Amino acid sequence: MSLGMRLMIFLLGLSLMLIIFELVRRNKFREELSIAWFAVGILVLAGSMADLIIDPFAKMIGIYYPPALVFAWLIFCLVVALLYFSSVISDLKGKIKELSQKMALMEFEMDRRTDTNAGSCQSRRQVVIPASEERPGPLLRPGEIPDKAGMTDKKD
Amino acid sequence: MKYLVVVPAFNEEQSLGPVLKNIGADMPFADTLVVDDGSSDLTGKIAEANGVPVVSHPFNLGYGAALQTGFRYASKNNYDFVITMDADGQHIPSSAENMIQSMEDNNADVVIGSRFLGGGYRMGLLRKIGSRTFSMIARAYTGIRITDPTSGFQLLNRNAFEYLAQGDNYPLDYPDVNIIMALHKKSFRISEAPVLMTANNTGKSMHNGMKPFFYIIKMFLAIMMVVMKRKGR
Repeated sequence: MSLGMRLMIFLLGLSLMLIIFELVRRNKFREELSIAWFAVGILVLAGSMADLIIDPFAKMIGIYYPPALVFAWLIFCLVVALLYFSSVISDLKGKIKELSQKMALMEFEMDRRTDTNAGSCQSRRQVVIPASEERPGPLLRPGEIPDKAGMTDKKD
Repeated sequence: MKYLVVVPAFNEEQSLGPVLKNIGADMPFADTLVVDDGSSDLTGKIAEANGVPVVSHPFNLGYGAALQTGFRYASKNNYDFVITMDADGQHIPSSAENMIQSMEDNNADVVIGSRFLGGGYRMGLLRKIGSRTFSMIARAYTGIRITDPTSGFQLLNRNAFEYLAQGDNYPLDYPDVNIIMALHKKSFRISEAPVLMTANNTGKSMHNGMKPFFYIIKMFLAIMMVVMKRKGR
């Protein structure tokens, strides 16, 4: 491998590592998720020395076309990365389900309490102003509770 | 004894009204809860118009998740029994009496309403084969004859629904024979009772299109996991 090629692969790996590092620093990428991509960056960096490592190893295990070993290794790495991301998605799906269910139940409980409060206020007003009474009662403003004689007081 | 009928509903505005009316008429002893699983139609409004409380998921989570929300509600509100019913009008509410009787007679924790025990229910050949296969698997594993393992018409006591309300004890999509096996593994007692079911009124089914194929594969995997998982509560 020529020196220029080595330098180019090394710079590519370095750029990838820097991009990942910057994404983590800006909180756009969680640390635990970045590990897999840092590993990919290291592999690319190591790629600049690939011929020194891979060629002898490929020959040792009987692969006569060393780039095939690189592809096989990369495919394996990608499968592992996909498995990892699948497990993350699965975990998130479970958490979203839990959150949604809890949120739905809490929202229901909140609505029920609001309705109960509104209902009790309404019933108090209805008791004070009988339907049979032809003369309209005193006008109630928000926050006012009528007393037994039909007079209004400020709510505590 | 407090009974809660849990009706998971997803875009069931056409059928939900009559279903809730029938439940109210045939099961006056029970409260009803509709779990609106992220419907885009008037499902939730129709339930409210019928005076039935509605817990609404912010988006569609799946049939199993909707049932689990119902179990959580029942657990939180101290219900003793939960009856699960579909919102499409397939399940005839008056049949719930059979399940209650069966629970008393067999001292069961879970009673599955079977459309086949009473006879008279017809289903397509493929579905029949699938149902029979799962039936055989359930029998081989539990030793109990379950004629309708895919039935969504069930009665559960507090022990059972509280267990299923926890975390991942209930699947997001379709709880079927895998849940029966999981409950058996956890030493819950299971029995069956004859119930009446009609053909699906809306024409919608959980098992349309390519879904049955994925469903069968998923179910076999789920069954394997139940068998392989360790016991212990």
